[in-house]
Amino acid sequence: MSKNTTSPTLSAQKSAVYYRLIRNLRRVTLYVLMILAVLWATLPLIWVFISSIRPDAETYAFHQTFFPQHPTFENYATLFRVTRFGLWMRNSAILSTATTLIVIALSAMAAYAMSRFRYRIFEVFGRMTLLAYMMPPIILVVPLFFILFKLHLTNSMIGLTLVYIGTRLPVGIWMLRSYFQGIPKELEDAAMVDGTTRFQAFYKVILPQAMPGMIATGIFVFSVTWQEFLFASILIFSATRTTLSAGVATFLSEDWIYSWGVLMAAGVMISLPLVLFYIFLQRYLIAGWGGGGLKG
Amino acid sequence: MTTTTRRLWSFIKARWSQNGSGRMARNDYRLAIMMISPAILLVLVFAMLPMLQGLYASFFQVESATLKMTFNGLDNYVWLLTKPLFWQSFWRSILWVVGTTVFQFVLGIGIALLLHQELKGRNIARGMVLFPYLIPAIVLSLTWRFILDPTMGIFNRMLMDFGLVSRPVAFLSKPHTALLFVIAAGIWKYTPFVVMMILARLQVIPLELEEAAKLDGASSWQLFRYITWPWLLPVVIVTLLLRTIWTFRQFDIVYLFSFGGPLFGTTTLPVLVRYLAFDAQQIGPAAATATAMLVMLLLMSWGYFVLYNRAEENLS
Repeated sequence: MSKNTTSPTLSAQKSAVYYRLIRNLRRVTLYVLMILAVLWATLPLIWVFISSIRPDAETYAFHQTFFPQHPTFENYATLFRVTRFGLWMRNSAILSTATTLIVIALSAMAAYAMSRFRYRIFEVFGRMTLLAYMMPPIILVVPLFFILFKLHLTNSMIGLTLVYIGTRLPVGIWMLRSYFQGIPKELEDAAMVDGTTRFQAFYKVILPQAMPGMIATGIFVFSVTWQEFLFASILIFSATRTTLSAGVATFLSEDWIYSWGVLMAAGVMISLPLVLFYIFLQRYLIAGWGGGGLKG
Repeated sequence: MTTTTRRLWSFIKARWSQNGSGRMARNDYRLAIMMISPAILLVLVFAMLPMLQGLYASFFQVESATLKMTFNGLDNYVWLLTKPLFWQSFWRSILWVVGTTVFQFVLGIGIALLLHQELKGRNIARGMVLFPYLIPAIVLSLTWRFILDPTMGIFNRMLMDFGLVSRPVAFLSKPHTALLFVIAAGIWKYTPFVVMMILARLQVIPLELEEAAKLDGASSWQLFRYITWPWLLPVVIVTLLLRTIWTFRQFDIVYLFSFGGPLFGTTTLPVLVRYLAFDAQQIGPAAATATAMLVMLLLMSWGYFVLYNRAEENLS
């Protein structure tokens, strides 16, 4: 009798415990997996940073500790003192800023015109930019070299900036067009009824509305230009005019004496602006990347 | 170039007179053309013109010193197709694209589903997981060269500590392992992109569907198979298209890893174009390789558009 009453409750209790155990086990597994994913993504970068503040003597030592015993910024000092890194950083900053500002200005105007007026030539241009957007840069680099040669713009930062602008514009236009399409036409109509010209309506009413899109596009264009290697390495051939990526790549050729600490310091310095942008302007960035500014 | 501009100009004039019914429309048109023409000009000169010149040059023999061009029909293409180096680079490209994208998607979808669960700290984890995507190609190459360095690299130290190898291995000095690690680096850098795209889609999944399926007693596998996966599929295909195209044309990562070597072991098609044009001084064949790449890209995107339309139809 008693057997009949207790056994179902016992087994129910048992299965409840069992169920809770499974659930906890599942949650623990999920947390472990999450931590693993984060470590997988960040550990190499942490290692780069740690190695950049490790004195070379420790890097080359047979027995190594994970954290440097005598952390130092000596490698950074060497990087800026001995190599042309500072100059390249300045070059890259000028190039990327100029490219970004011009691309944003020109593609905002073009994207606005394309989103507000329907002329056949715009459609043709739209297709053209899509093709240009997909095109592998390696296809362009040899002919570009000869075009710049004819314009007397090889080995010149102006030439390289023009190339960057021309090849980044399609991305800028594609990203911004969707933003302008999302801004209601009535806004500028109202402004024009109030007596402004269409261009005034564009930059006083529409542009402020499109600001998040323009920031996202700007950061995107800046970051791809900041790290660009191919065009810079081929269109510029003097060490004083080159950019970060192309300059640091010369360290990797065999005749350069490796100091891993200095190289890691270079890695940190190149990544830093992009990481800071990401941390502080994350919400704009994600929106922009999702919105079509997708590049590899 | 001059005929193109003239034709463009006459086209603009013709459109202008057509639209000239009202002063307003004409002003609008003039403004629109003024706003768009700087962009058109720059894209034409620095993107379209070089592409056309590249296509054009692929049918010529180009003297690299004098730039004298002699028409030679399909000779460049024939030369290419008979070169083992071209075919090796082609297959390496395929391996690089398939290897990186497959693992990017397996890992990326997995991580996205994981970070979609209700877990504490998942927002921070989402932010951190995206970090590799920010790392420039040159830094990626520095990082992996250092990690894999035979004497100082942590990877070899760890392998030795665990007794897996008795002597340090120079992974980047052997053609096969070099390619393997370039692929690993590609997976590491671009998985976050897949995570980002999939997470964005997961966040807008219609909850009614999930609830209904749960009420019907669907297991979590069934839930994934019949609700989540069909919902993700269009985004998976678009992302796959983008990743395939950009991995296929990827130059910086592959080249900076070990400059196409050792023994052409990491020479994919874009790296081959650079080698042919600037090291081997074979501009015609380089242009032909580039053109072949463009054709392959167009074929790929066409294939994906067909797939995408089918996935969208299935969803509705």
